[in-house]
Amino acid sequence: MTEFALDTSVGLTIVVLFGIGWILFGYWLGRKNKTHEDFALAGRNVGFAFAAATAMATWVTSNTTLVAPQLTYQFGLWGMIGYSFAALGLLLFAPMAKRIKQLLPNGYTSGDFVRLRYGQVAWWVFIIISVVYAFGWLISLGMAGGILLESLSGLDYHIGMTAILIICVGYTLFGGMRAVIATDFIQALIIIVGVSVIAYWLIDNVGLDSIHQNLSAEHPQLLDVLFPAAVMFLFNNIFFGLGEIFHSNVWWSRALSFKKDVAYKAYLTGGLMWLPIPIVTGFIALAAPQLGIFPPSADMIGPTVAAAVLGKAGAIVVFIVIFSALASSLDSLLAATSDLVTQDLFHKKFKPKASDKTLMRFNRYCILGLGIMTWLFCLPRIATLGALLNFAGAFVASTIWPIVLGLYQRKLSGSYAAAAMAFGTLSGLVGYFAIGFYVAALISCAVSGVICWVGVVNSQRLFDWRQLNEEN
Amino acid sequence: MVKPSIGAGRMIKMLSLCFLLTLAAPSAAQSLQLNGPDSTVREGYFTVNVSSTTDASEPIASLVIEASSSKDFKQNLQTFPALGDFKKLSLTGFSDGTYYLRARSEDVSEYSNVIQVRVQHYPLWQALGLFVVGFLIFTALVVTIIRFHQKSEAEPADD
Repeated sequence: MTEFALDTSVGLTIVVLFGIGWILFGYWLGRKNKTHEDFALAGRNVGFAFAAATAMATWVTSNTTLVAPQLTYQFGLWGMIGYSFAALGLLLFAPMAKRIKQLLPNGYTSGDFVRLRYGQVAWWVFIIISVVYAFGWLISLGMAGGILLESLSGLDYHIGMTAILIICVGYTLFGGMRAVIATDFIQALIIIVGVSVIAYWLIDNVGLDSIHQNLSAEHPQLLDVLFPAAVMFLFNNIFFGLGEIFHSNVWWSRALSFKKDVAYKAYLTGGLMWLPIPIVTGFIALAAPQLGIFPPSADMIGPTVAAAVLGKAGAIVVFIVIFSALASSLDSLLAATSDLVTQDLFHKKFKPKASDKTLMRFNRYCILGLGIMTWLFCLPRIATLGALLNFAGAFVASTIWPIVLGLYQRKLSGSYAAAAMAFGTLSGLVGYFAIGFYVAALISCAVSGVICWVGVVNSQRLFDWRQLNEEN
Repeated sequence: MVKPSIGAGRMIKMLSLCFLLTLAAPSAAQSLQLNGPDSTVREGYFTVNVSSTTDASEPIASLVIEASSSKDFKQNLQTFPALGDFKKLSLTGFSDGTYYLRARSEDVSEYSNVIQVRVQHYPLWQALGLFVVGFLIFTALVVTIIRFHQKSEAEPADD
């Protein structure tokens, strides 16, 4: 007996049609890329509408479309409310993005900043954290593609995962950042319209009262505002989101590619647009017990329930929305991580005199290489998406204080920043394994914050902001 | 003493019966094996999976997990149907207590083995302690960013 919402052939057809469309679009946009700066930062000339859309669409990812329902299914109300607080990452990054654009008018990456502000040791720690995070996120996105197709059409996980990787690598390879931002704009529109339709459809079909009655009678724990693990998870998720955005080159490269004075407004608008989306996607999961849906893996709950309630047409809408969400993040991460490797490792460490053409070619090889490595890591389905992502939380949350203080405070030195990131990460990992994934980022941020505070108190030298502008 | 003798016809009948019994043996011996978490569950959710003793790759028709707070499955009985052909179920929303679970299927006449799952959530003081720590760090961070931003707006980057 099979209860999948879509035939396998329908799922595959949508993927193939979308794939061809996006790749051709990426190729068309890529014709305008003349220099490496065009390819990596879209000529540093992105306007407000595209900037806000790319901020919002990139942050709507497997987190919001698959992990928010997963955590709502596991933690109840706090799962979706806690997840919506991840919007704070975009909102708080808005002033920082403005500062980044001011301090590094010629900068390329977040790694550039850490190297110039804190020196080599801190840079190495930062690069390790960035690489672990980037792969954690890339793998989770690749896995999400496979899980999505498996949940909705029963297609083998490996085929779905491979398909989404080929499509995203394809159009990013051709179009660079210009294609990433342009496709993000369209994907943002699809996500907003699609999520609104799904929310209306769900409330109309299932009803809030019946869901509440079922949960109260059968699973009261999911409605408990004092659900211990969920209470523990709340701030952990906030710090994880802040760490992801503050450190990742995905967000820095956007800030640097936006026109002057656009970054602040774009991140603020993107954050506000993003805020309600996890509430809608998470709410879907609360209907699962009433509908008698108990998936093999908690991260399949969102698409499975939506498809069950909304029928075949709804399943196609869900499929397109989630596919867009995954693609908008996967392409951004591929582009930003390859920029980091090209600029920070290849250009700065190995080939300082590399020509523009060489850098552009190397950047493309990086995108391809990252795609292949991600595919290899995705082959064994090692963990649920939530557990995998939150493992990275131990790493990224340690960068929050060093990044904030590094952008505004002249006293924090490189040695303290390196120690804060290294010991913060180690403490977070201890918390992850000894207690659970829902405390890793919180512990990491707390330990890193204490070390940074000691560093600010003890440091004697003041950093000269002009050192950040390498052109001078 | 009369020696027992078996006629050819009877011999054929017995051999045929043995052959039929051999053919029928797998379905008669088919049973379900239920596996669950090995240790105490601290978050109220866990995964169980079911295997068939005959052919692990074959789907199990209409697989359902039953959970109860009593060993005889007479109190607070809940049923959880598996999705599609999957043999694994992710269950959630369990309060503190001991639960007994078993599996059943249309294909198999008998229930599976019974497993016992103990759910004990983290103490509330521990959760609220972490909540307060998180709130304090978050407040400090927000105040820091806002104050730095206001200061940088007042003074240009080359301060």
